[in-house]
Amino acid sequence: MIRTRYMTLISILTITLALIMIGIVSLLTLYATGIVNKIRGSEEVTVYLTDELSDGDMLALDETISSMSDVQSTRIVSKEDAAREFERMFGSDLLSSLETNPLPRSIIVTMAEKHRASEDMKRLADRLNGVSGIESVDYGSEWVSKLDIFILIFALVEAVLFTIIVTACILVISNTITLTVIARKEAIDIMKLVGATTGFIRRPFYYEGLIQGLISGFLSFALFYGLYLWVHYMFTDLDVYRFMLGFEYSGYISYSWIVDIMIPVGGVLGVLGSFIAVRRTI
Amino acid sequence: MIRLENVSLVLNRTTIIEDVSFQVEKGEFVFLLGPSGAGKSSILKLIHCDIMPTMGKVFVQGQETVRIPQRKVPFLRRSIGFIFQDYKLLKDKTAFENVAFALEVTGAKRKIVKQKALQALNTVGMAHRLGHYPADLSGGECQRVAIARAIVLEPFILLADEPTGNLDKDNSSAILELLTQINHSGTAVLMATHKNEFAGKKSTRVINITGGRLG
Repeated sequence: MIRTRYMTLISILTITLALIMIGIVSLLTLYATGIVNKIRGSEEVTVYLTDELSDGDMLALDETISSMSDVQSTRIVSKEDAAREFERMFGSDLLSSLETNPLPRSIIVTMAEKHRASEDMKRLADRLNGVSGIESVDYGSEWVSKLDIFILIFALVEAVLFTIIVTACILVISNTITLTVIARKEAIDIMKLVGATTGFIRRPFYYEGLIQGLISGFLSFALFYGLYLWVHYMFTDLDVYRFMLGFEYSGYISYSWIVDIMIPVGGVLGVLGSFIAVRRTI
Repeated sequence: MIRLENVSLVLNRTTIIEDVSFQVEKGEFVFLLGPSGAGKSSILKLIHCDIMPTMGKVFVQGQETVRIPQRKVPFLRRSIGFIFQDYKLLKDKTAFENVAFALEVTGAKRKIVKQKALQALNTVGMAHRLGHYPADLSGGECQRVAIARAIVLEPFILLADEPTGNLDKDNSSAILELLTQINHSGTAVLMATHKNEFAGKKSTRVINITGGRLG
């Protein structure tokens, strides 16, 4: 009896850890996808300027760019503006240790509404690259295709990991229920003796698997949510964290469905595991 | 009611019983008499549908056992009471709970369960010990509780596999008397035993079995 309870406890803890792992991998995939989508949907092109360009020439360049038909508006970012933005995102310690501000001036170009596809941005970038006073043009999309491949690989790895973890969870619960059935063999034999149907005998074990799975799901939900809140608490001051999330911090888990499904997924795994064990032994 | 026609049973290449034919009629008290290993328990298991014959036919209430669908076997078993040498009581349940258990598996209502379980315990003279666990009961008392469980569903036949095997002479006589009493109320009894002293008892029939064969 004690051994069976110990095995049940191990089973619950194993499933809990497995569900947390699934949750972390799923969240990372969704965040990575969110970042890519954010970049893909960006409507801005950043034109970095050389330090040698005079302020007058910079203003003239800005006027030239803003008069282009595929440009909606432009905004000049000075070195000081850039430094303030950097400090806000990454903290003030990094730049203050340097003698000079290494960040370049830039012109932020907002594309016109009908010209926001990556090809339009590339066309503008190609026109501006090589113009005197322009260091480089960044429109993000040039490396989106590389990210797409990365996301695909990430998703495939996640799918494989997910399959392995789910299979392992089902086998762990199945093993625990099998031990429970063996431990209760005497009672099961007597049930058969007095005319209990197979369903009557099996049902308590299905419930046991379900309860194990639900407890695991609830524990993983609580731990995962706690972990998420801790990460938010530790890094929420940094805008880079918020940027990486791709959306505004609201104090709640952004992809809450990952957490919401932990309890029912745990329950399903529990039932599946007990189903396999019971069908094999009773 | 119970009929075996030329039944043979081979398990793991060993012939357990060979060409056995007999029947038990309604309300009969039949002893299945033979030494250990004669095949007595196997015959009871064949009737209880725990095992199937290798050859021949076993009929229970007119149904051939091999033709009964597996899902209907539990319902047949509810009409067959079975008691054993080692009682087979659930150690973590009281005498009352052990008897009630047989009713609970049928889905009977709580009120009926209580009523019938008490009635069965009363029949076997154990109503005063209904709250006791098997560990607190003597061998004779445990067997009485097992009999109560076996008769609570009002079976048409009671199969008894060496029910007095673990009991002293006095308790054995008491159990036999109880089974006779149950038989007089209309339930057929088929009792497997190696004790010759039971043979010749009034109003009973004896089937001798040795080495898996009758006679």
